[in-house]
Order: sequence, then C-alpha cells, then structure tokens
Amino acid sequence: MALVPDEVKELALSSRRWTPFSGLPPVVVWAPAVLVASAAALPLLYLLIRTVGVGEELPDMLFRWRTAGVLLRSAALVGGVTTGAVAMAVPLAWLTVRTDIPLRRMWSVATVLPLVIPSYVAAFLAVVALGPKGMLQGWLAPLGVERLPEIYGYPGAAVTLVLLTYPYVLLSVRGALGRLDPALEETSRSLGVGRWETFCLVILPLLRPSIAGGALLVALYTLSDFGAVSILRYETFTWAIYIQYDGALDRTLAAALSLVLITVALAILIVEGRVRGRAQYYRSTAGAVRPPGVVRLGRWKWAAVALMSGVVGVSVVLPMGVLGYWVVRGLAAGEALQFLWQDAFNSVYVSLVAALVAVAAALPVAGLVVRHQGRMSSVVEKLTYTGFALPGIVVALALVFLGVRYLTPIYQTVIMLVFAYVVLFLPTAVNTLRASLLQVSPSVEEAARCLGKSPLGVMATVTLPLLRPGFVAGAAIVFLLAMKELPATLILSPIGFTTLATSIWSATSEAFFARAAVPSLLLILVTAFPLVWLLRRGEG
Amino acid sequence: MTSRLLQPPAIRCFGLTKRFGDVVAVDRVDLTVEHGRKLVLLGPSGCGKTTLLRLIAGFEMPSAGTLAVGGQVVAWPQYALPPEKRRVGMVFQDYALFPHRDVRGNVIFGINRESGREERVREVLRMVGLEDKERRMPHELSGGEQQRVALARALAPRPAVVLLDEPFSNLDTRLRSRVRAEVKEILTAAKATCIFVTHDQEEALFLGDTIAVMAEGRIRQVDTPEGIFHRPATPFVARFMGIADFLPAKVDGDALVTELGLVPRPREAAPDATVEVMVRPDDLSIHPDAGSEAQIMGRVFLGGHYTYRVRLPSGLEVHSLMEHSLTFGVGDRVAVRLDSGHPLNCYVNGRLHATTPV
Repeated sequence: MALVPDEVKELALSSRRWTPFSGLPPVVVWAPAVLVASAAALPLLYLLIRTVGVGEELPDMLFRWRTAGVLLRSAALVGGVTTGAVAMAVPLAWLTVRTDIPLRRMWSVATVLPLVIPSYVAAFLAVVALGPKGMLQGWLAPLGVERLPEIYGYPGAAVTLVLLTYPYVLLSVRGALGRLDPALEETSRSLGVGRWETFCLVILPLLRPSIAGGALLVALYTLSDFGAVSILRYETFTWAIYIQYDGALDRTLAAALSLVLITVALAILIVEGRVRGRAQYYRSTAGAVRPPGVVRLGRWKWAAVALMSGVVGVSVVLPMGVLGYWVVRGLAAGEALQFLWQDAFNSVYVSLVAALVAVAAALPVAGLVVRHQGRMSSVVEKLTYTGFALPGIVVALALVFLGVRYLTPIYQTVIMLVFAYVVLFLPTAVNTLRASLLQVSPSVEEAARCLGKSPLGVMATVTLPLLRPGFVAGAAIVFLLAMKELPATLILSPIGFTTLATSIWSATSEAFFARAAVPSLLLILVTAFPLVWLLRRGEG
Repeated sequence: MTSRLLQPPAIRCFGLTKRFGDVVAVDRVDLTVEHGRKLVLLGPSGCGKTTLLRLIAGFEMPSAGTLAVGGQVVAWPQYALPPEKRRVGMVFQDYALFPHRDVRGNVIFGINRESGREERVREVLRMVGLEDKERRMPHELSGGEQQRVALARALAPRPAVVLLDEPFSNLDTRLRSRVRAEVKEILTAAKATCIFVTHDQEEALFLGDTIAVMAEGRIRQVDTPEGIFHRPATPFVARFMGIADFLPAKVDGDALVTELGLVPRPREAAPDATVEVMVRPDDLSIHPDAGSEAQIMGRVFLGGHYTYRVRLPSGLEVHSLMEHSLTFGVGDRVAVRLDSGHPLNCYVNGRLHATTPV
C-alpha cells in the first residue's frame, strides 16, 4: 500500500465528511443552489450577450466616445478615495482599539456612523453647506469672501466619498487588531525592536489582509457610486451610463460602458487578491486569545482627542447639523409631509421583502459552499458573487434589457426591483450565513443523526435553529443596503412608485433641498437602527 | 452468562475497506466486539482509526466488506444504512453538544418520542452524576461536565454500541486522568459495549479490555492490554507501546548470540537463523566501566528514574531505565547488562516468532 502523508489523508477525510447537505438526495441540495446562482448571474450574462451581439462596431463606438476620459476620471477617484480612506482609517482603528484615549467607546461608535449616510444625501449636504451661495458662503459674505474653493468636481467628490467610506476600512482593521495575538507584538519587543518599528514590521504586515479587504469595499463602493458623483458633477462611469440610458435612444452604448465598468471592478478584485496574498494564513490561532495590551498615550492624549473630534465633526456632526437645519427650515416653510409616509412605507416594504428573499436564497448556496466543497460548489459560489462586483446601475440596466424583451410580465413591477436588490446583495447574505454555518460543527449534526434524526430532521431541529442569528444579521444588512440603494431603485421602480431614496434624488436634482431634508433624516434614522444593532451584536 | 454467549456480537466487521480516491484509509479490517466489552482502536494519526469508527457509525460507506451491528448487517459495498437507524451512540472529540439546548434537552434529544423518556433522562443523568444540572446550557459547564453530558446523551437511547472518538483530547492533562477514570466507571456500570479511538498508548492500556493497534489502514494486532504490551506482534506495535530496542542475534547451538551476551535459544528458531530480540529499557542495566566502549549519549529524568540512551560498540543505540540512586553523565563509559528475568520476544522478518525460555 502506498504511504500517504498525513495531511493528504486528513484532507481526503475532511472534505468527505457527512452532513445533512450531502446526505440529502443530491438534487434537493443542488437544484435550489444552482437556480439561485443562475438567477444571480443572469443579468451579467445577458449584458454580455447583448453587447457582444453588437459586433465589430463595439470597439469603434467606445473609442469614438469619450470613454478614455471617463475611465481615467473613475480610476483617479477610486485611487484617491481608497488611499484617503485607508490613511484615515488605520490610525483611527489603532486609537480606538489599542490606546487609552478618553471616551474610547463613544469614539468607536461615532466613527462608524457615516455608514448610515447615503452618498446622495452626503453630496447634497456638501452642496448646500459649501457650494456656491451655500451656508458657509452666506456666513462669510459679510467678511468680503466672494468665492469659496470649488465644491463640484474631483476634490468635492473625493472628500465626500472618503468621509463616507473610511468606516469600511475602519471596521475591518479594528476586527483584525482585536484578534491579533499579543504574543507576536511582545515577541518583537522582547527581540529589542521598538514600539514604532514593531508597528511597521509586525502589526502593519499582519493587518494587510484586513486593510486590503476594507480597501476593496471602498474601491467598489466608489466605482459603483452614483449619487455623490452625479450631484457633485464629476463624470465617472455610473453617471455617464445613466445619462446614456436616460437620454439616448440607442442604449447600446450604455451597455458597452457597463461592460467596461464591470471589467474595472474585476480588475480591482484581482488586485485585492494579489495584495491580500498569502497573508490570510498568518491569522492567529483560534480560540480566546488574551486581549492586547493598552498603549498609554500620555500627553498625546489630547492630540488624539482633537483628531478624533475633527473626524467625527466633519463626517457626522457637520452633515447631521446641516441636515437638521434644513429639516427645520423645510418644515417651517410648510413642506408637505403627506407623500413622505407613502415613500417610507414603500422603502421599508421592498427592502424587507428583498432582505427575506435574499437570506432564503442564500441558504442553499451557503449550505453547498460550506458543507459540500468541490468544483461545482465553487462555481456556484463565484456566480452568486457576481453581484459584489456589479454596480447597481449595471444590474438595473441589464434587468431593463431583459425585462423589455423577455420578462415583460414582471417588468415595471416591484418584483423586478426586488430581484435587482437580491442580485446585488446576495453576496452579503451568503457571507453572513456562511460565517454562521461555519460555526455549526458538522459533528453536532452527526450527533443528531446518531440519535435517530433523519437528514431533514437534523435540519429542522439542529441546523436551522443554530443559524437563526445568521439569518437575522444577514437580513438586517440586506435591508440596510436596499434602503439606501439609489440607481437600481431609480431605474427599476414601477411608474408612480417612489421610495425615500428616489424622492431625495428627485428633490436634490431640482435643487429643492428643503424638500429633500425630511426624507433624508427619516432614511438615516430607519437605517441607523439595524446598523447599531449589528455593531453591538458584533461586539458582544 | 449463557444467554450472552448466544447473542450475536455487538460489532462484526468483515474485510471492511474504505478508499478515498487512491488513498486506502481502512484496509480489509476484520474485527469482532462482544457485548459489554471495551475495545480501543489505537494508532498514530492518519492510520484510519477514525474512518473505521465513522464506517461503524454510518457516516461513511464501505468500498468493500461488510459490517454488522447487533447481528444486523448494516453496511456492505456501496450501501450504508443511515446512522439514525443503527442504534449506534457516538461521543465526539468536541462533544458536539447542541448549543441551543440545555442539558436535559440534549439528553432527551434521541428519545423524545419514547414513553418513559423523563425517567430515562433522570436515570442517565444520575449515572453520570449531573442530575442537579438539568437546566444548565452547555457553555455553562466545565469540560469534564460537557463530556459527561455527551456520554449521557449517547447512552440514553440504549445503543448497541457507544463509539468514542478521541474523547479526552480536549481536556488538559490534569483533568484528563480523572475524567478518564470517571468515564470508564460510568460505561462499566452501564454495561455498555464501547469502541474508543485514541493515539495515546497509556490511555489505551487504561481503558480497553481489548486493544486493536492500527497502522496505515490495517489492524496490526488485537489483544489484551497485557498481550499488546508484552507480546507485540511487530516492531511497529512494540515501539508504539513504549520504548523498545531490537538486538540482532544469531543462533549458536542452544543460545542466541547478541551484542549484550547470550540469551537462551527458543526451540522455534532454526539453527543459523537471524532473529531480533526485543528489549525494553527495564531489561537493561548499566554499570560504571571506564574500559567499556559503550557510551552514554543522553539521559532523561523521569522523577523516580532516569532513562539513558547508550551507544553500543556496534553503533546500535539502546535504552536503559535506572533508579536515580546512581546517576551517570552524558559521555560516561558504561557496561550494559541484559538482565530481564522474563522471556524475551524474538522477531523474524518483522513478525513475533517465539519467546526465549527462562
């Protein structure tokens, strides 16, 4: 008999462990997962077919049009915002996790709050506060200041997006800092390496995967952002696509630009994979590690507080203050509120349905991916992840094409909108469920089988009850994202169906800022609850 | 007693084989476990013992061979009766307690449709000494208590056999020996048939009525703990059960000539055959001898004793266990004497061939 290394055997054994998912008749596991995956990949496939169908004119069309300029502008924005967000988030993460900064808990919540501000709300607040004839200008006018630095264009869009997206890097790095085995840092110090050098030589490299993970989210967010760039008039792909879609009779160029946009998104994913490298294997051992020591800031304490106040001031307090001012002003001016309740109801209703459908669709995929590793399951997993790289506007556009031709019965219905949300946010739901399923040891399911339960019985009495927290968390995240989503909502909402997001958008695009303020506040409040709940759950 | 003899064995494997692709994890295993017996599957990691256990539990399907539980054939090539229909209880390495159910909820899980379940829960909880912790959640229990809940849960449906997969590896060393004794007592009191899987020879000697040593998917020897330790069938088994050295020996008349002197010749050894004689550290003693060519290469302090590693003139290294009243240093020259006082095992071509007469 051939001698086989232990690891190979372990691998062979571990990948073939029995579970309810593999114990069921294969079709019961495969069919739903494959169905979900195909549905998720459908928009992208259709977009591809349709664009390739254009044939040789396609390159011509892209060259003739100002594609290169848009591409450069998008790349510049993605690069700038990602760099800015990382540069801002890493020190903030370190300060809130590892130091004795006063009011540490308050800062750690406050620095995450920008996540609830939709980009189109932030952008319109930037315009009303800092734009020409804005609030700041108004206050400075008596002092003889005639012009402020231009808010429109690259600087305005970049700064706004940095302030909105740095929490993604912050959360990711903070998690990694908390899990870091303090023994690594202590080893470095005991080998005679100073604190600052240890940070650069040991901690920073260990944080690289989490920085890369956060940066990926920021880059994709920026690339697919539609609200901020269009309000701040910086022409990137999403805005260009929307204009082509909205204005031109022939929508082929919009489709072609979408494909270029997807290519850029895939390039970002590949770059992230490279940067992350093999570093993920360095993760410290599982189980309860000692919490890392606290660094005493000493006299630097107040500098740190000043920095923190500045960040929170600019990214949370200032926008909320401006918003509050406009809410009061709008109400005083007698802005009608009666439409608002219908909008709020519509928003909550479609987002809730999308959240439930997304977690239900994620279950077979997560089950397959976690419990049934293999080539087919990795294909299914990758297909469901297409939504992650697809900007909302692209999915919406693909569904419009698809709807007009083949899905006429559901085109211009809420079903189509829910479908778009599910495609876009399925990866998030799968991720959450997968993490939660990974915590259910297969031996727990096996124990239930030994005690006389059939595979379906195991699902009902053990697996599903243990997954409940994962379901709730996944649904909460999808709900939050769907509430804020703008371009897909804008394009796919049936005629006459308005949500908070679309109302804010139409008000701001006509510069009725007072009208946009109340729904913005409402939207922020509704999304803040699930977020705060998720954050507290993550800490507990 | 007679009725037990008439019962079919609790477990019977015949030519049981499991292949994963090109890897043969379990290779033609024949094994019988009678009712009420405790069998230990012992072997290094990756030897296939856990796969064998999973075949018995019903989580794997045999590639060849058959398996019967309590006289009922439950698996043959490409067929496996589902685990829930087998009357096999299992205690997992990580205990696998249902984290969302309390102690009672865990124990009742396998019998919740039977009459008298409440009494049975109380009975097994009393058996494992946890009758006052019914309402605790698994995370509120210590490691040893979790272990006992897992045991109670497995015993509650009165399985034909209880399988325990490395059940003590999650406990720290001090707790381990205590929990081990408790578990053995509980299982004995319950008259349960059980199969343990372990890689720890000390644990195997303590727990088993019978030990089956596995390597590379095959069962190398099945015997009582004493038999396995004193008459290991192969050098592999001997080394796995503690330190063992093998001295090459030549038959010369009525004696075997080894580097450490003459040993009586077993009748089975043919004239001019070459055999290997197994010696354990307690069979060898060492004495100061400045003129000797044998030299101490290393020593390990074991509290009451030292184990010395000695290089013989031929270059062969042997081990000797000596009381600490007389200590030697590394590099000391010593004379090595073979004074076992009991028969020694002789191996031919790697198989136990005979034992020397006293």
